[in-house]
Amino acid sequence: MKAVFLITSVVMMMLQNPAPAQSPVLDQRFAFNINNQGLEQAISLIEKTAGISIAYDAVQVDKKRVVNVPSINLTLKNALYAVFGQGFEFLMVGNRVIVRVRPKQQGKFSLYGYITDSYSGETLPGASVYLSDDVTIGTVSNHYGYFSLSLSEGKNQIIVSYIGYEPLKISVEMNDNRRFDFKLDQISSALEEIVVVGEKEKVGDLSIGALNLDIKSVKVMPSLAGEPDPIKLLQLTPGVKSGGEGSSGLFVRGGNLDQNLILLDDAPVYNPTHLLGFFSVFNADALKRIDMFKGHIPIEYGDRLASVVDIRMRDGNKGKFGAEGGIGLLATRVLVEGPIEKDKASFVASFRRSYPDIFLNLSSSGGGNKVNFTDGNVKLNFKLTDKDNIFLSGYYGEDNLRFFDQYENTWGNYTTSLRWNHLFGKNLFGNLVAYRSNYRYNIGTFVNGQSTIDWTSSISEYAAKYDWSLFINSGHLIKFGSSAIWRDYAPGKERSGLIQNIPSKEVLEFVGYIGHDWKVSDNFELKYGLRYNVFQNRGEDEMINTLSPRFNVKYHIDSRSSLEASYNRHVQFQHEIRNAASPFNAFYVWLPSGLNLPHGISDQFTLGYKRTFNNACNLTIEGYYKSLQNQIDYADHASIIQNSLIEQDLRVGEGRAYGFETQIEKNDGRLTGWVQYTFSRSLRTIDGINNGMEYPAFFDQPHSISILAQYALSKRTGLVINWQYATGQPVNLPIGTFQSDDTLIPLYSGRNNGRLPDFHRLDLSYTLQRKPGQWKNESYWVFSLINVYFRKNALSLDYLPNRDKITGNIVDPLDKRVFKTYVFGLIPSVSWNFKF
Amino acid sequence: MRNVLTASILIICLNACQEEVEFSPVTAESRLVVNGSITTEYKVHTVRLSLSGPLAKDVSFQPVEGAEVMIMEGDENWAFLKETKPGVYSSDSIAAKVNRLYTLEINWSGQVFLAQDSLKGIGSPINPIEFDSFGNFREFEFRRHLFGLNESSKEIAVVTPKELKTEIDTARAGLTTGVKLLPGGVYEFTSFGHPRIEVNGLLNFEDGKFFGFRTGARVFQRKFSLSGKYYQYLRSVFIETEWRGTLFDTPPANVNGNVSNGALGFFSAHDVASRQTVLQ
Repeated sequence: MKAVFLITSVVMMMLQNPAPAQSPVLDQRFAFNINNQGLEQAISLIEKTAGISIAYDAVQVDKKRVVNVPSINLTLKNALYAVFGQGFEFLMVGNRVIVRVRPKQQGKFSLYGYITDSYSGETLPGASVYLSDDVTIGTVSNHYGYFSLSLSEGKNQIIVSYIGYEPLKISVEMNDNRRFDFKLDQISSALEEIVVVGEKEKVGDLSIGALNLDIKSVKVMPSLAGEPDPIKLLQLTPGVKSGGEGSSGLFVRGGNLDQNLILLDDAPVYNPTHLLGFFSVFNADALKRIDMFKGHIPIEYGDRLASVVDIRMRDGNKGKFGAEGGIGLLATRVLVEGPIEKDKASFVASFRRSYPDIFLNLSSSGGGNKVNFTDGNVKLNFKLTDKDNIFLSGYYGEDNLRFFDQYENTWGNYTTSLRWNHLFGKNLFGNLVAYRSNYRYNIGTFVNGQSTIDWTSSISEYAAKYDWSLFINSGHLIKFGSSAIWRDYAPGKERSGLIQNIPSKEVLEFVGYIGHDWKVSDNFELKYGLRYNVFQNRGEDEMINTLSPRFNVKYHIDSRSSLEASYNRHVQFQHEIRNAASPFNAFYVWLPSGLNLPHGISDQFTLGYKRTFNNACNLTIEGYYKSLQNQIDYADHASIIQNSLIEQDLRVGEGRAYGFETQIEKNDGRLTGWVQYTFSRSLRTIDGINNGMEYPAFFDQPHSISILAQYALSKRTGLVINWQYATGQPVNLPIGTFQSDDTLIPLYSGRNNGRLPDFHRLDLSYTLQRKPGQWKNESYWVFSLINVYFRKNALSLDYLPNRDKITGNIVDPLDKRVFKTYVFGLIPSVSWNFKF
Repeated sequence: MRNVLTASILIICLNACQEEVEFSPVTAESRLVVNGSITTEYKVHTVRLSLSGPLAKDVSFQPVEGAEVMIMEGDENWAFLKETKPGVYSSDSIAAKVNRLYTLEINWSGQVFLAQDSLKGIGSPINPIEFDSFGNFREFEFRRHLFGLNESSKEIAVVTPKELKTEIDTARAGLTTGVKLLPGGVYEFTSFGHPRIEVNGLLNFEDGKFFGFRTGARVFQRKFSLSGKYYQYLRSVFIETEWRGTLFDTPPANVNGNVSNGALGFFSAHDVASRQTVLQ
């Protein structure tokens, strides 16, 4: 706790010493109207308009200066800059403005401001600002589009760039700290967009194992049932596995599903899947950007062992109203956006619903059978001042599955987050967040029309956090912050009281962190930091304190290549309990760490090499070794629903993961995409499982390859080809059988003693845009073919009764054979997408 | 028709396709398999002994002959079982008692195998099957597994037509797991009640089936008590058999019984309640 108080005290001290030009009067706006006036007349007009007096040294000012101040509402400070020039600063004493020459700052000044989309006003996180003649001097905008870059005095040629936007080249005269808000223009044709994961080497901001995803690429990818899914694109990147064909799960560098922190506008999403895991809950239309970290994870993120997926929703168009969406075979999605107050406040709202039940009019049938999902995103944002922005975001999603009069399941998430970011001076950016996240499922069963069980499981998280970024200069960035988190676990409650509930638990967690991104020299960058967690399960006396250091060093061999090494420790105080052989499920139980369930710990060592070729191709090679403590697995046939002694069915042990990832990516020209190969292992050693011997985790797939190519056939048409290969997943294969009463029961040897056949699949998509002028607004079709050569990839191998091929009947229950279960045949789909 | 469409959509969406594959497993050593039970019914009780077999089509299981088999009630000998057929060991007519501990002892091939089960009383009375009337027909919905009941249970219902049939509609055989069509057109329905929800059981999408009988048919229901250990065994059996092959399976694992020394199977003890009605 001392660390948290120390950080807070330091911040407060900094806030109490504002720069000279921080007086409220100086920020007041007035309608000055000064046209071609001499200096003294201009000063007199300002004094009269603002009701103040101005004191200055006549020797220091240029008396021959001709002054023009436009007749728009302008702050007093900016009017004074227009009169006296940028070389002066202003101090308010009573009702008097003291004008004095700004002291020289050793030839370095800060260029700071926001980078936005020129059309919509959306801020652009991750945009690059760098010197055109020295690409090693640069920075990247933060999640809110804010940047701060220290530059030498004099004229500087700056390039501002962002994926999918025309780079902006501009000459900036630096003789003072200057705010510059850059607006970038989108590249006109969507089909000229390129699938980009990663950043150009020259900016040097992204660490090994980090990537960002262009949302536009998601929309033209081959997609199941025409439903664009950003998580499916992440699965194609190095080190990421899906855990089973068709799933939207993420298994990252040997970590389990629950070891990924998935954030939507800073709020964690506990179950990011629809339709029992076939689709993710993220509507691509509503998203602005996705960042993923799986190697060196920035110090502001924590609480998960494997990765962070940071998803940001769009802010909404600040300039004009618009709508977009799409109609696919599975669902329809609609998004509306627009200004609440032009250039000041905007909104965005999206809605998506699947409709198999509507088509078949199922919901009105006697059994009330259902299979559908809905979700919605809403975001409001307000620019209060040039330095203050407020964002209110919300997500709601629900799935519903009902089968005859037997049972009904519902599950879903909702998140709400309120964020206020404020710029303190030019160098200190603060972001205050309060959020709530909830995931819950319900299962109800019926016998003879009567409800027998109404079982609910949920987790709720409430948190407040304050993240700070102190841009000292282009060589030093200090990040620090703290958070307080409250989690309420209700693993299982039964309304009728017939069944014993799983005891609810509450936990409290405090986090404090501080990190330093230090550019030691032109060739050498260092990032290091420390996270401090205090965790208490309120049902237990023990308080857990952990320190998690992170360290990353990067050496630029030259302007195009770099070597990087990192060490990261992560801790995780909660576990998702899911005893399933595949990632398809929605009935997860979340449990907090405690005496019977120790917190997970991961220590990851990473080594990486990056090289850029001709500004168009990137080569990335990374290797890692990860040691895992307190990993969860399950006793044979463990029961996790309605089991009040659920922890008795859990087994805890150690794990290790290691691997090697390489990717060649081309991100310019008509042909873009990447080829990646990953070698990875994920192994567990847990008492009570496999006789205590090491065994592969069920998502352990040593070799995987993905080839993703997007080719712009013309201005209006494009083709995407995606081929994937992976070693078959480990499974328990039967080695014998015995008869019990009227059935044959398989016998197994060790845990995950065999493997499924290797997985491979080819997907295609073809995108066709309408001719310009045919319809004044943008629209395009995406035609997809999933599994082009009809590979029946096995999801499992099971010993099952043979069924009559025509009737499907089991003729002889004792005639059992080994069958593979597969998900996809050849699946064509089409979607129509629009924007106006 | 609507329900058929519904079921089709659900199954297409959530139940994947299956295809037989050639598979050459490592063959495990044969192990003794025990299938035996005793009940509170006064009758001949049997224990079947066999060996486990390879994973092959048309596998046959070798009966275990020449074993010495006895059952003890508490610490006292209760029944010596004689081998009446190869691998089948039968007692004299005898009835077990509630709240007693029964131990099966098998001496075979120089090894002793023990299995114990406690005979628990029936918890709640047997519920009559609810039939709907359609003229001279009476129809009920058979569901093999019911979830969320107060207790675990096994029920067998035998429906005998008023006049036994000489020809049987074999097209209905094998339609539904748990339903046997016996000579004379007699149907036997075996169902289980589960105290907890089993996701892989629920999401198996096993539709309830309707069976109709003419008035005058006799319905004989028997309900069996299950010890906690035996229910866990049955649950494991279902996880490895009837509830396997969906997208929501739990990891496969061995079904562990209550027989010592590495043998497979279960020796169980049951209280039995019964009721008989005639469809009016």
